[in-house]
Amino acid sequence: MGRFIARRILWMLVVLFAISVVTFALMRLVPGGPFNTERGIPEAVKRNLERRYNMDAPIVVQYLDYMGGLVIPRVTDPEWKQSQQEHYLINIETPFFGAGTALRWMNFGPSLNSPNRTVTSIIEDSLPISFELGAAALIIALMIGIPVGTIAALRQNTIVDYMSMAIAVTGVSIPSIVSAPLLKYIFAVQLKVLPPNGWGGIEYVILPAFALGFIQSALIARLTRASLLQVLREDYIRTARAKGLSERVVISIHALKNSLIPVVTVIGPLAAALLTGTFVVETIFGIPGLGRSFVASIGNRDYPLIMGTVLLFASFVVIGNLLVDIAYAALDPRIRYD
Amino acid sequence: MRFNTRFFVLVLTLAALFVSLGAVAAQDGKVLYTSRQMGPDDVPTLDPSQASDVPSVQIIVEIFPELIRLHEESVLTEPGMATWTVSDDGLVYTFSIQPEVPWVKYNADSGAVEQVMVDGAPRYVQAQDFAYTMVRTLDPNVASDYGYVLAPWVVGGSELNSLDTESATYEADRQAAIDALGINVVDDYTLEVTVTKASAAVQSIFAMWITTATPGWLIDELGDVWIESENIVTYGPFAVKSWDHGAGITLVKNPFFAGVGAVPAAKLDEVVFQFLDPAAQFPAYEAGTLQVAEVDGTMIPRIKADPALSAHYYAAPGSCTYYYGFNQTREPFNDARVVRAFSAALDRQAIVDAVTQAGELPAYMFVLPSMAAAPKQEDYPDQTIKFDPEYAKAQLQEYLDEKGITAADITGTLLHNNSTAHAAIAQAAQAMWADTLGVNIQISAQDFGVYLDQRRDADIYRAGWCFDYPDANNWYYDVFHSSVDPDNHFNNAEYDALVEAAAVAPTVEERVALYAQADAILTNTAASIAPIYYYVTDDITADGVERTHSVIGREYYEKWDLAG
Repeated sequence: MGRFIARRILWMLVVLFAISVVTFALMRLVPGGPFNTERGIPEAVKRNLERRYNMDAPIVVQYLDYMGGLVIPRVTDPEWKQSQQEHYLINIETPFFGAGTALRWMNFGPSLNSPNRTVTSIIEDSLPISFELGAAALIIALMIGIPVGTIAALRQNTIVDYMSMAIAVTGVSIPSIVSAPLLKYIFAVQLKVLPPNGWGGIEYVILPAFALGFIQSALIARLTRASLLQVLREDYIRTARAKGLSERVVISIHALKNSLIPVVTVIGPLAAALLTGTFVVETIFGIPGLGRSFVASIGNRDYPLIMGTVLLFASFVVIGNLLVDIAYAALDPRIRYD
Repeated sequence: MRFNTRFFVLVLTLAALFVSLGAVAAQDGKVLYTSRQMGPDDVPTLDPSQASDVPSVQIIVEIFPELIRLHEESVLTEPGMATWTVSDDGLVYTFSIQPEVPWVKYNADSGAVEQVMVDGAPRYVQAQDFAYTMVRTLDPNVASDYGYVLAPWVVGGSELNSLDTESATYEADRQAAIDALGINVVDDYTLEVTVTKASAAVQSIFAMWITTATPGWLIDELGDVWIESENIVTYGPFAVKSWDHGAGITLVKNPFFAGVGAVPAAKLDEVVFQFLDPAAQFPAYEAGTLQVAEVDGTMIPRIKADPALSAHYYAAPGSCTYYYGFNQTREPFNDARVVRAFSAALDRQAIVDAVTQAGELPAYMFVLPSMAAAPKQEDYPDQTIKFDPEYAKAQLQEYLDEKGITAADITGTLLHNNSTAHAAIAQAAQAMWADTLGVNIQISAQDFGVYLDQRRDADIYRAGWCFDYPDANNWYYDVFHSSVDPDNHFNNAEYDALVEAAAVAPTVEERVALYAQADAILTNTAASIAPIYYYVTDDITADGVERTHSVIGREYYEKWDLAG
């Protein structure tokens, strides 16, 4: 298992490296630039602007400078001051290298759209919010999806099954760009029981989390049902019943656990997608999450912000997939990684 | 059915949760919630030297008032932080700054706005602080997006702003250029600025946010993070209470600001700016959490059909002109007759009535009528190109006959940046050109970055110009003078001479007449653009809000109040 994880982490780094190269190349190939305006800026001023952001260097040097700042940790002396060029995500103050020194890692660079802000500060501000919203949506998706799928499977071909699956199909078919304004219209505008937008207390989480989670719960319900139906026909379920185990134990211990493997497979990428922010729901509910920064950065040609958000998103996806593989072993004793 | 029972309980619990959260805590004092002109994304900056966009400027004018203030409805200049005199030759502006306006900072622990103290005494806004901002705006080290707007006006400004930061003698050159600047602190409350041109437009330059006071001592100490809400110090009618990046900014009344010049003390206790997509602002207004909301174009038919909503709706003149530019370097648009034909074939009234629908005013001249020294199109009925299909056909026919081609041979692509509103207008124009002229124009919709890149090469491009400072000079000189932007493809010596003369002409009447002649060249005799309409700023306001309706983009919330 240890060797497996080590090998996977190594591969993760290779994947992330490839993603960084492709993203950097693609975003620089797209026409347009961060300092273009409707009126032409004088050449001398534009040159100084590009120099300030290291954009006058050869493209390979720019890439290496960016990645160097991101992945190579550095030790700072007490004189060090945070600036738009240097702002690290991880800061460990340690006297190990001398008084007042600190070990700093992951400088995501300046945001070209906000002349005083750094990508690191944008990530620090918006990632926790996207995380909270994503976690809430994931919990809703699982709490609705797994029970509904289970009920539908156990009552296969009854009215309960048909109703559950009808709701699930409806859920899968309604994207959040439709359900979010609808939820908002009902609960915020008409009933006035929940705020229409913003972020703060639990009351702000409910509507967007439902808008995000419901569509995923439908997916999970359908997967759970299909998988559970298959498992219920397995020999070991018949054995369990033959042993005289109660139906509750047969379902919850023997059947459900084994039927969750396909569900776990989708949870990895799903969690990564939900946790890193979701543009549509964030925009509709005015939530200051990372998804909006991600989309806005592309329109603004805010190169460091594009790189930062893409790499973050990519690392969540690869980490999510790794966790899924580890979870397989826990769920199904037959799966071993050697 | 035990599973179903459990599910039912879950639903009931959630329903109870919804209801219990319904009670919204009451607020103390007069708090206004607005998203007007804010948009969905974070305000890029609160640094006056760095701001170049409407939302940033909106916040900045509330916390750092300018030397000269623009009246939000008349667009006239009024004393802001200073009164001023101009030397007889029109080149030296002497500002007498209001003494003893304190720097303040919101203290999150005590929940109050406090004065910034230095050695036990309040620190006041002084001439040095205004000079600091102007020098910093021009400083190549800062690389301000807007330095080049100020640079040509201040003596030595362009020399400093365009220094090469990698030249070997850069540091010495920079210091020398700063010393040579026509910005002179006479005493703590007197600032003298020498300008390059004796132009009436200078007053509006000093009414820009890049000439406000900023706390130099704090910027030098903290660097880029000085604008964060825990650091920033200000002096205007409002102070920054909080800045939740991406969500909103809350301004709180500054009790130490008693009113200076045309800037009164605030009546509201707090103004909460929420960053919201225009499409999300209206539901928030309906839910009662937003008192002032922008109106998304798609909402206008519904508002107009509903008497209750339309009573709260208001469309004020905006700060921009919508126009189509024609590529002067390419057949057939390098021929003024063709551009005149395209311009006369556009039924502007139909576009604003049926397509945009927000009450925009059809435009036949480039400059907004509200600008200083702007000719008004109703005063020049004979020189502008109006919707006239017969004239359009005749102009094109003349060109076609001369070239021996037919209308079917005229091709071209109209480029616009992607948005449903621009697309609808482009389709209307395409149809009008096809119906009237029989020409087939393609439409290309691109993402904004690509659009900016491709605009110089497009046959026809959609554009909007919004003023930086409200003078006709910012329209005719800053956009179309051949020295400013050679890529604009409009190079006309006669036009250049007219706008140069208009900038320094001694009386308003002379300036207006010269700009009118320049406009005739730009839109008619040497036709390069077809103005389409003047924007409006439309929003919807809840009962009880006593407000102004600004035509300059930003509002002065210190003039607003809440009834009751």
